[in-house]
Parts: sequence; C-alpha cells; structure tokens
Amino acid sequence: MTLGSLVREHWEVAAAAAILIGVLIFIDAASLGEPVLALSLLPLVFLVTAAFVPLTPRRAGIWIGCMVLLAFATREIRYAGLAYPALIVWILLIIHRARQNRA
Amino acid sequence: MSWGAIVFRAGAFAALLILIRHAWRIEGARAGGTFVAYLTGFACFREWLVSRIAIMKHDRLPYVPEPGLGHVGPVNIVVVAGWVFTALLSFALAKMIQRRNFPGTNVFLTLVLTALISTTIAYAVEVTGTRIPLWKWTNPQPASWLPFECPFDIFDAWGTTSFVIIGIYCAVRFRLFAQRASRRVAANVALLAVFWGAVFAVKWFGEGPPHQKVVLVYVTLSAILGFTAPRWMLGSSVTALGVPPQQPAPQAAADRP
Repeated sequence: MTLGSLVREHWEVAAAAAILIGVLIFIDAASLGEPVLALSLLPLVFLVTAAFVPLTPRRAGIWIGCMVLLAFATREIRYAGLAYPALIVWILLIIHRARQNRA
Repeated sequence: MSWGAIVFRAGAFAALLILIRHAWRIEGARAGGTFVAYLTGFACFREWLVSRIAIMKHDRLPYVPEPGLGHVGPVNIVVVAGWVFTALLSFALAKMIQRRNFPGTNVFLTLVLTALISTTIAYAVEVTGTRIPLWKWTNPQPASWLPFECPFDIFDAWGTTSFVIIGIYCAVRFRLFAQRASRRVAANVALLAVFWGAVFAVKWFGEGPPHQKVVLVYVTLSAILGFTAPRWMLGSSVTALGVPPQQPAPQAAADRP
C-alpha cells in the first residue's frame, strides 16, 4: 500500500495527529516563546511516521543515533531519552525479525 | 485564560471530533458509537476514582486541573476528553504500525503499542499543558532521563490506563482468552484485579518504582503474548484487526527454489 493511499484511507488519523502536533508546536513557539519545547514531540513524531512509513531495525537505529547526537551536540544528555519509543520499537523489530528468520 | 489554552482546547476538540468520525467510519455506527461511549464512561470513572482514592488516603489529588476547564463534580470534562482522544489516536496508530511493520503478530502487541503511543502523546501534551497551565501536579517527580521536567507518573497513568481500557475493550469485543464465556469472564476479572492491585498497591509500596514494576510486568507479558499467543486465545481479533500473516524473511524467501 502506498503512502498516499494509506493517508487517504486513514485521513482522520493523519489529520488528528497533525492537528495535535501543529497546535503544540504553535503554543510552544508562539504562546510560550520556548520553541525548544517542541522537541518533546519527537517521540510522537517517530511513532506517527512509523504508522505511515515502513520501519526497519536500521531506520529505528538511525533515529536513536540522531537523538544521541542531539544529546551530545547540545550537552544535554537527557535529549537521548527522547529515543525511548524508537528503542522499544527497535527491540520489537529485532525480535520479530528473529522469529521470521526462524520460521 | 491564556490564548494558548484557547488554541489548545479548540485544536483538541477538532481533533477529537475527527477521531470519533474515524471510529464511526471504520467500526460502523453501532460499534464505533459503543466504543466512544465506553471510552468516555471509563475515563469518567477513572477521574472519579482518582479523587476517591485521594480522599481515602487523606491525600491531595495528584493533579489539579485549572478550574475554568469545566467539570461535573470531581470529573473534569477536558481531562476526560483528553483520555478519549489519546485512547482513540493511540489505538488507531497502533493498528497501523502493526499492520505495516509486524505481520503475523496479534492483538496483544497492539495493546503494547497502544500503551507506548499514549505515553508519547501524554509526554508532549504534559510538557506544554502544564506550562500554559491547564493543570498542576501537586507532587511532581520529574523523569530524570527525559528533558523538560515531565512527571514520571504520566508513564504510569496514561500508558497503563490506555493499556487496560483498550485491553478490556478488545477482550470483550474480540472474545479473547478463551472460547468459553465463563473462562473469558475469569480472564477479564484477573486482568482487572492486576490493574487495581497495582493501583492500590501504591498504598503499601509507595509511589515510584515498585508500583511501576507491576505495570512493566504486564506490559512485558503482553509483548511476549503478542508474538507467541496461541490461536485459541485470540478470538475474532485475527481477522478483525487486519494484521497480515507472517511472511518469510527476505533472505529465507530468496533461498527458496
């Protein structure tokens, strides 16, 4: 199934997620004046993306790597914690792949 | 009320309506309406119960919503709408992730993904919502491994509640756990006993890790069942969720003559 047809089929889910993310970014940046808070959306953005784009352990690993790089670049080690859904999904994908190979 | 709070409420209301429409369209009028009504009822019950437990423990409420948000007794309307929104969006996204990335898995993995997604929604909403402020935590214990000082309780509260709410819904709707009705009822009662046992265990274990380990145990068990549950446990969920059957790994398929 292509991305376009998936979005058309579940447009309400895509729209609701987009509204949530858009509203929170808008409030963080415009109302609170702290655009850095929008980074808190990264775990959700990862999972919304995973709903529409096929994931592989490698892609999840790249996401985790990006969060770790962000943490090192900003010297705020807690930014690495934003990778927690990617880490869990990565573990699940590894288990799933291992079971597929065994089958 | 700040205009940030107004934008938040307007956006959340629009997104909730769109999600209700999705449930209506995908599940049909009767099943979709029942699902939304069930989520609303359970969310109201949970809000009422949280206030009752606080009174029983002679303690303060864990969080205090802004009075202007509108409430019926101890039940805050915006918080209830938030629960319904989060459960609907998490469940819909979990099914989509599973269909796309985990063929051959079952409804128990859907529940784990639902809990995971609801924590990410909760995290983003809490970071912004507590700063507008839409509510205040009376005793916030920030998660030390995440930025922006977000209370660790959200992982417990949102993740667990989504898991249990959707778990019970799936158990009843898809007739999980057993073919015989009496066994299904027993399994559901056991699931609820674990949940409420974990809630009330706070009284003895105290807030924090021991309580959350109980949550981790049953999410982990669900993940294991997600890969290994036998067919008789899955009821009608196999066809209803639309997760494709397991495909051979690309290498294994290539090796085949």
